[in-house]
This record gives sequence, C-alpha cells and structure tokens, in this order.
Amino acid sequence: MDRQLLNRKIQYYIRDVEQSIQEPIMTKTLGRMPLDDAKAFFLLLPLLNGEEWSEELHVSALAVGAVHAAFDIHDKVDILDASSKEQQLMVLSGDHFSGIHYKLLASISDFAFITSMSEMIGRINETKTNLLMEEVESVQALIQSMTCIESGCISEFLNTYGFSRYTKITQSALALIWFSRKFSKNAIVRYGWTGNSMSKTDVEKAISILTTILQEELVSAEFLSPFLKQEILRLATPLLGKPI
Amino acid sequence: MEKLKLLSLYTGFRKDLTFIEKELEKTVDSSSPVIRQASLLLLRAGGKRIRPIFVILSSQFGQYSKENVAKVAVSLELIHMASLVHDDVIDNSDVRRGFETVKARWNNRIAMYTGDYIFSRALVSIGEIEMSAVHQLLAETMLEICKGEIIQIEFQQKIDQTFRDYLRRIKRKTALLLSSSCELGALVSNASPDVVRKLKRFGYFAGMAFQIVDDILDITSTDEKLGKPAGSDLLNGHLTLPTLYIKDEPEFQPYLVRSFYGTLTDVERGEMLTYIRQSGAIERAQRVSDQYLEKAIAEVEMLPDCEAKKSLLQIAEFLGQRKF
Repeated sequence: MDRQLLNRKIQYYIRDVEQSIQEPIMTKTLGRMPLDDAKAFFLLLPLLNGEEWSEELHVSALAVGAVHAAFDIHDKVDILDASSKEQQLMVLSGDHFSGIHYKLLASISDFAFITSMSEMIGRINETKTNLLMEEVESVQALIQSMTCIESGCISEFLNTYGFSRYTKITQSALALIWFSRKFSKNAIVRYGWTGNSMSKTDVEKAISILTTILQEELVSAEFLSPFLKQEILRLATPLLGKPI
Repeated sequence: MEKLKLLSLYTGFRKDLTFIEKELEKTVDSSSPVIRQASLLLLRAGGKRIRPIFVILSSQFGQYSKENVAKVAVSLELIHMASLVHDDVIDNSDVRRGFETVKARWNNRIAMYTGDYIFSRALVSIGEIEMSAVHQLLAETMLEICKGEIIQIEFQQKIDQTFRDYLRRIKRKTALLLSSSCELGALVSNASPDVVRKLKRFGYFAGMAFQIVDDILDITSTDEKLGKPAGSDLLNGHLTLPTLYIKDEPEFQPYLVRSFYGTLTDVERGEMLTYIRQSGAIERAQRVSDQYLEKAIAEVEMLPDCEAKKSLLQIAEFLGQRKF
C-alpha cells in the first residue's frame, strides 16, 4: 500500500459517512461537516492493514463516523447563547447524526454493539462534563480523559469486531494527536468551562508519556505493516525531533 | 385536582409505573456529579409519563413481560427527556415545569452533554431487546422527530403557514413518539399485527389531540400552572393552531409581530392572551382536538375487551380535556 491508496480509502469512507448523515436543510445552513482524517485512519486501521472487512463492518464503521460527527457539532454549540438559527441547527444536527448512528446499527441488527457503543457514548459525555466543570488532578488523569474522549468509540469498535490488538496504538496515537494539535495552537491547553488549563510543562510531559507508549506499542506490533507504522508516527508525532 | 384525577387513572398499573420510575433513576445514574444532579432534576420535575403508560397498556394486548416493557418504556421516556433538554437550549428557556432548566442551572454545553448522555442511556436500555423491528422503528421515529424539529426552526417566525403545515409539525413533534410508544409496547409483547396497527393508530390520534390541547393550554393557562410564561409558543416564534386561525386579523397582527421579534411587553402579553381567548380560536382548536380524540377512541373500541382497553379509553378522554 502507498500513501495515495491509503488516502483514497480514507476519503471514500469519509464520503460515505457524509452521505449517510446528510440532511438538505442542515447542509444548506451549516455547510459540509468536516470529518477528522486521523480518526478515520485509526478506525480503518485493520482494513488498511489488510484485515478482512465485511459489509457489516463497513456499516458499523459508518455508524462510528456518524457519532463522531455528532460529537464534533455538539462541541461547537455556544456555551452561553445558542439562540441563532445556525446554533439551533447545530443542536439538531448532532441529534440527527446520533439518530443515523442508531439507524445504521439497527439495520445490521448488531444489538450488542448498540449497547456497548451507547455505554461508551455515555462515558464520553460524562468525561467531557467532568473536564468542563472540574479541575483535573494530574497529567495522567487528563491523558486518561482525552484518551476516552478521542478514541473511546473507535476502541469500542475495534474491541467488538476482534481487532483489539490495534486498540492501544489507536488510543495513544489519538490522544497524542489531540495534545499536539492543541499545543501547536496554544502554549497553554485550555480544556474547561472554568478556564481550566495545563501548563506548558504539563503538556510536554503528556506528549512525552504518550510518545513513549506509542513507540513501544509500535515496536511490539509485529502484525502491523512497516508502512502503516511510519504513517502512524507521521500522523501522531508531528512534533517529534522539533523543540517544544 | 386534575393531577389527582390522572393519578387515579393510573391506579391499575401503579406497580409497573413505580418499577419503571425506579429503572429510570437507575438508568441515568452517572459517575459525573453534574450529570447525576441534572438527570435527577429532570426526573423529579416529573411529567405525565404518558409514553411509559402507553407502553404498559399496549403491551397488555400480548404476552406481558415486565422487564421488556420497562426497557422500552424507560428508553422512550429518556428519549423524550433528552429532547427536552436540547429543546431548552434551542428555545433559550430557563424554566420548564416550574423547575430551572439544565442550561439555566449550568450552561448550554452541559445541557448538550446531559442530553446526549440521557439519549445514550436510552439506547443502552433498549439495546437489551434483541428484536430488529423494535430498533428499526425507534430509530426511524427518532429521526422523524428530529426532522420535525428542524422543520419547526424553518417555520420559526413565519406567519405564512397553513393548517396542514401545523398538523405535519405536531405529528412529528408529539404524535409519532406516542404512536411508537403504543406500537413498541405491542411489538415487544408479540401482539398480533392487527392489534399492533390499531394501537399505533390510537397513539397517533391521541398524540395529535394531546399536542393541540398542549397548544391551547399555552394560551388559556397561567404562568404558575404551566411552570413557564403563558404564550411561550408565540414568544419562541411558533404559530400554533389557535393562533393560526387569527393570524391575519388586523387587531392581532401587532401582537404577533412583537412577540415573534421579542419586543412584546408583559402587559401586552396579557392583552394578547385575552384577545386570543376571546376570539373563538380556542373553541375551534378544541373541536379539532376532539375529532382526533374520537378517532383515537374508535381505534381502541375495535381492540379485544380487557382492563387495558378501559384504561386507554379513560386516559385518552382525560388527555383531550386536561387542564395541565
């Protein structure tokens, strides 16, 4: 596999998710919902690594994409005033995407996944609420929270369909991507309603911890193609070797 | 008085309802202190629990399983609750049923997360039922409700609306979930297809009547009884059946425009409500509700005789005439 083929597979998947969640009134007002390429990459990691990928798995993966779209848009709802038409539609779009996720899973009668995904969605919302309202005690605790928020649904998908060996890589990489993206925008990472923030040193520490975990996981991941290992490092450690 | 009357109608299935109430509390119990508090606030604010009741009664036309019925009933009530939490964000409402809303107590983001959390718990509850038809129906219902809300926003502050537009809106807003409550209750207890169909239609007609009465009460009731300002529908830019009848009257138009654009004073709100009450629009809307109620009753009349049938008839009549 080369990068072109890899990107094509990811873009096909993103296009399919966009088609499944599309609703004309919302598209007219809110435009296209950009889906995260990195999340798509890790969701499709087993497929990209040559694992068998059934039609049912594809539908389930679309459902996970719909959930991420719902999370993304609900995170954009203004914390104090959502009375404009655009904001109102953001609330409803997220609800619509959640409904699509359920409809997709109902269509393949995967009852166990409906339950486990819903448990995870609940946990993610609890984590987001806690982050918004409470001071986080330590770097480790923040890493744990961000791992749950960023990769919880994908981990659930991987574990359900027999791809658990990809889970740890996915978790550390997606958390690392979150910290790196935040860090490249701001030297201080804000994560809470009350203005909770992490110091530059703590961010560096989080990035360092996660980079070590990811590198160790990649070394022991004999099942993963060298090309994908390189791609993961490229995606997840853009700051590696650069002064932070 | 009215609430007591409703409670007396629930006597026959009080045990099941208490069981469901406990399951509701268990299902939304959260490790997050804020979500736990918010969920309990919502549960304690109460409500008529019409959806669980319709599930309980409909399921008695088949092989009744308390556990399965509770899973469906809990799920439907939670979906309803989650949608109210998000509605309060959309409508910027600070009070519902006399209680502070989640968005007012905390903020919009917490309301979004709480709503999403409750919604996820609804799916956890129903996920345990391994029946494709149940999930497909519920998923379709949820999407239709959402579409209804989107259409409602499209119609917000628009005066150029028809009777049909209104009926389509309330179908999605209320009638569908009540119709699905009956259908799901019957499905989960393996009632015959004919019974399922009749109960589904009953729920739909009763739901239409219920929403029309709700819209009437928004005008005829008091702030105290409603637990929010009377006339809130107009203040939020929504035309309802009574106001659709008089929207073109020159005396009413200035009130309508000012309420849609948020410039109506409290004194003017009182004058506007008096005007609507005296215009004859309430009686006309009540007649439409009565017609739906008659259709609902006609569907139940065709069902096999049993206690649940009697209860459905009594509750339907109550819903059409209720004062809260």
